[in-house]
Amino acid sequence: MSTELLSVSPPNGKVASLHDSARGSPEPLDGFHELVRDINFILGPSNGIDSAGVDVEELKHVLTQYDTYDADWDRYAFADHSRAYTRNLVDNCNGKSNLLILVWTPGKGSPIHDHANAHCVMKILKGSLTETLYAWPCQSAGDAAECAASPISPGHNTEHTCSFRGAFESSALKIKRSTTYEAGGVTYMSDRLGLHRIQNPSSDEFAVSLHLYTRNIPGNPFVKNYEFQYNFPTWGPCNVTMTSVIGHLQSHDFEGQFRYWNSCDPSQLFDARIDTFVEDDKKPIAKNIETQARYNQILFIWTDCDREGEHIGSEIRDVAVVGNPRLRDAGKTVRARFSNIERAHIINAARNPVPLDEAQAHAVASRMELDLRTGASFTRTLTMSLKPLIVTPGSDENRIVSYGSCQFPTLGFVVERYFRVRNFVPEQFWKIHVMHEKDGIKVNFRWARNHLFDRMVVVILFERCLQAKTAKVTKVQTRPTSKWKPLPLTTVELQKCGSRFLRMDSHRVMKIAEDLYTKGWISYPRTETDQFDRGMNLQALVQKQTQSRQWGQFAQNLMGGGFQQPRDGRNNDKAHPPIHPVNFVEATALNQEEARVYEFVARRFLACCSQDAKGTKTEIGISYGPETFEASGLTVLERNYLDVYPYDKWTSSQELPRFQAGEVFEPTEAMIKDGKTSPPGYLTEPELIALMDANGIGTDATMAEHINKIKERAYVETRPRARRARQDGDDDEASDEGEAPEPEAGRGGRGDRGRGRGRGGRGGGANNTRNSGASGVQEFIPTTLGVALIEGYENMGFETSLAKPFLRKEMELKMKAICEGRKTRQEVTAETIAQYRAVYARSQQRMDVLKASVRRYVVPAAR
Amino acid sequence: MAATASEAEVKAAIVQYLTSKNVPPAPGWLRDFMPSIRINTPMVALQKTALFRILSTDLNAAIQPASPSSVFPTNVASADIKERKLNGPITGQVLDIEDIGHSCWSQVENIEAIERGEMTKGREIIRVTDDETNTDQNRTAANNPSSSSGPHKLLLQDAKGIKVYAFEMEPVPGIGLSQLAIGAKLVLRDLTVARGVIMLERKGVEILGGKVDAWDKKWKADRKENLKRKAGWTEARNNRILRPATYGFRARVAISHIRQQHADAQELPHSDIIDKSEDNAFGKCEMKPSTR
Repeated sequence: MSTELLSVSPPNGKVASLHDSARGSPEPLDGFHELVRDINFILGPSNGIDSAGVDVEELKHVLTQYDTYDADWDRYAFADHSRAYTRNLVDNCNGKSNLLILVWTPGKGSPIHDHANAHCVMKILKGSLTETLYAWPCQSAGDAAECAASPISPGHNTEHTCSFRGAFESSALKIKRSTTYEAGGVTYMSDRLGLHRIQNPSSDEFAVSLHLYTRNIPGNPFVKNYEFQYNFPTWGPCNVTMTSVIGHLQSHDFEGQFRYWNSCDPSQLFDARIDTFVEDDKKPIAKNIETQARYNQILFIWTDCDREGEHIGSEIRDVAVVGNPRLRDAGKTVRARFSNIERAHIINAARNPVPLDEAQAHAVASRMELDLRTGASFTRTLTMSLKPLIVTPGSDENRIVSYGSCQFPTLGFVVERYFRVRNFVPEQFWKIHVMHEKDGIKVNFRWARNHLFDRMVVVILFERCLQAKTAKVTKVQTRPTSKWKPLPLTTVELQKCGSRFLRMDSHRVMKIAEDLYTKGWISYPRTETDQFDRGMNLQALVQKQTQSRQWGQFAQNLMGGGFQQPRDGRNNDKAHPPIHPVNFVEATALNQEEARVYEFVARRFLACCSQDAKGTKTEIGISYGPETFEASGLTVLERNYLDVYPYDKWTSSQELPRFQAGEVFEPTEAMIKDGKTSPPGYLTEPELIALMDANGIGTDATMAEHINKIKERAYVETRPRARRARQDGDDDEASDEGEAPEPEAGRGGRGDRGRGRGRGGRGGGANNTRNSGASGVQEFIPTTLGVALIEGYENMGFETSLAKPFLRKEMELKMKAICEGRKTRQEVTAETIAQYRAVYARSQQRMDVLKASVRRYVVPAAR
Repeated sequence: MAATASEAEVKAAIVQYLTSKNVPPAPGWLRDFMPSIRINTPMVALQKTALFRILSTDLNAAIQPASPSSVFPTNVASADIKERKLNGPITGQVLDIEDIGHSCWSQVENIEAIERGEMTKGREIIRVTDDETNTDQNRTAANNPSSSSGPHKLLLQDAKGIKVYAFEMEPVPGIGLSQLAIGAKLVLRDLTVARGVIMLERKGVEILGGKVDAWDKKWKADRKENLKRKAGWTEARNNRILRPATYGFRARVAISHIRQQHADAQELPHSDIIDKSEDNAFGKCEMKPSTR
């Protein structure tokens, strides 16, 4: 008794190899070509056999109806006598299916094969053919884990392929039945029915057959149904149909009457009815699931194991129960808990299904509703109020001033930093510097107080040092020190490192990481986890990296005994492991950016599995008058992980001369040095991500999108941070503290002068991205509109400004409360709507403040 | 009869107690204080009340220095005296406190963050809600450790009104922007004064606490503006001290700078101090030539 099972997963392989060659030229419509036209008509806008909207019976019918007449198809039936059979493409049915003519050499046949998840209708045009059906080997062997058609078998071909490559001896397989079809006979074959082989039983006559092969499910070239069999411990041997979705299935929007901008007062959107529907482009996918559900007893969901994935899972379930209400019953809809696509891991997940987590799905539903209501109401009112001010009169420029509960706080961080830089007042500080030369080495001693902002006090202390004449060594300490290897890689960390080391913005890095993930090179790149599960076989993963020409030797050394369990960070999202390479890939097989991201992920992983760098640190403390000074030196003894992780720097310092505790000496030099505080740089992407992370703005999955959004809306611009560059000239952005030349003596301490202050490049738009001497880290500068919005809202004087992260953070905490069952979706939605509605009402009253701010900063181009 | 004796007794006990705390009350203060209490209150409570009251009063009016050694010498703030020791105990009150380990501007930024209702903890911006801000005493430091880490420079005043700066040589418990109110009293013993600045060390400081409300309020209200001015925010950068070209020159500028500060503190005309020793204030210091 086998169970039909529908599995739904996110799309993995993006584009299958689509065979599309030899198209026939226009033909007079003979019987054969009428058949081709009919097939095309049946497949119509839909997309393949056994897909929603296409009736296999109908196809079989037209094929049966066709009276075979050799002359019609003769020119397709090319035969290569040296082969068992020859395949000839007749038509690709507008890219929806493949129609082929196969010519079978007498006495020969195909190997035993499956259909790699394709379906096939076959008609014998000439001669006869014997089809032998075999049971699946996994069924006869009773070992599901060894089933070759496990969910990860990459069967993307649409045509006759044999995934077994003749590996199965017919004797080892159990024959289910054998049928001989004569000319005119029609048969249907799918993997659901088993393995088969076709043979030409005649010893002297060629046989010719017409084959129609499926492709994708209708309407979407990326979604297909795969069929295989699997023995689940929970349900026993099953026929499984695996299909996929592309992100959310359902969309939400306001009821028709509220959908248009001028249709209602934006405040009505806080409680307007929201419709849930399937967008047109997703309809075929939904239809496919609904149809498949009819034939299946169990729905097994394989979406990503995070909140979003849980919600998509619930959408799939909703669609599936339309086709099969029994899927709503307990235990009929389950999900797989998995975090990477390694074979063993997937098999384990397949064997241990868990229920869908409704709470997580509810949290997402609640968040989506809130985002829609707040986003739409504020965006409409902002755009309508501000558009006259920012768009040149008479132009039909369609500018949207959008609001998003994550966008605004993100912009707020950028603006806040901008003002910190602009308002900054540099101040002078003073410090005591002591240098002593011994054994020909000049040792610089750092003042324990670093520096003080009171000159009088520094001078007095300095005098008391000088008065003491000699300094006494109070401490000579040499102790082992180490530089810790990095923590396992999380998404946020990947994004930060991406900007810092790879010079890619977070959006780009995530895009590439996702591509690497779908191709099977790295693990799922959205994770908060920075600890590897103890049960994970990390050494096997290290082993795979030994093939690399660059870091293979390092991996080899780890295998030879250098391996050490990675450090554990503090986060575990219980869904995904840290980002790590799952398979080795040559750089040449990737594009340049992919190769760099892959290299980073691989090196980071190997670094995690290596050992901390070791060295010794020598500290010398002296007391000089009332003050203490220190010098320290570092000797790196073992580089360990640093060898594979060039992103970290740790180098030996100058060697220190020998000092004895209690030793007294007269310092060679003592002086007061002064310096100036310098402004912080504009916000860089890693800093912005860290701020968003700490303040709960967005999730690791969405941060990059929010950052991208404020760029897209022209609220901020980015430019490469200049390295130590201080161009003078027309830089009106440079505040006025820079007149006095900086004394060399003032280096160090707090005043790290690597001041990020390049040319403003206002209004220039794109031309300021190429800046010689730029280090490449992007810094964010708000546009006048960005400043105006944030300042406007700040000036409204609310207790909770929209420009601040608090409201959003509260919302995130409430999402968490839903997930943990402490609050219901309804409670959270109602509370949050009430908060935002209040803010909305007040900002309506004080819209003049916002307008004033916009007038102040944004000068319309025409005036 | 019995009542009078009792009042005298009470008075004596209070005087004795306050004296033991190094705040011997002035007759005028006592005169004002006595009628405000109820004689039959337990003595311990009365003594505590008296101490509390005296600590919230201007020292000048409240105490009567026991001996000349319990006030600062009149020239305590002289920049010309390289070093001197005072035995004390001297009772003083706090007129000003500054964190000189941090730039004024960074402190301004902190104050503004509080004004906006937010504080930062690491990178996280924390919203300060009303119930947290009620106790404004320890608001600043509790939420923002960096604002009280010092070292601090205090402006102290004794019972005779003599003012002197004190520098916190090592962290002294009880000294901090949020812990020490303006008008708080402290007792100093065995202290070192260098160039007119007291070098505060843990062992020589006893903090009695208290505050003079009006002063403290004003100080808090003006603090931000003062810091901004000090950072050079308003008068732009015109008033900057010129950067000295040589170290010798620097030493001279430095000493006159010290005088300037003392003068400001004492509200004395500058000339009084400056013309005394233009020559060798730092002449004795061995200034080693810089290698630069």
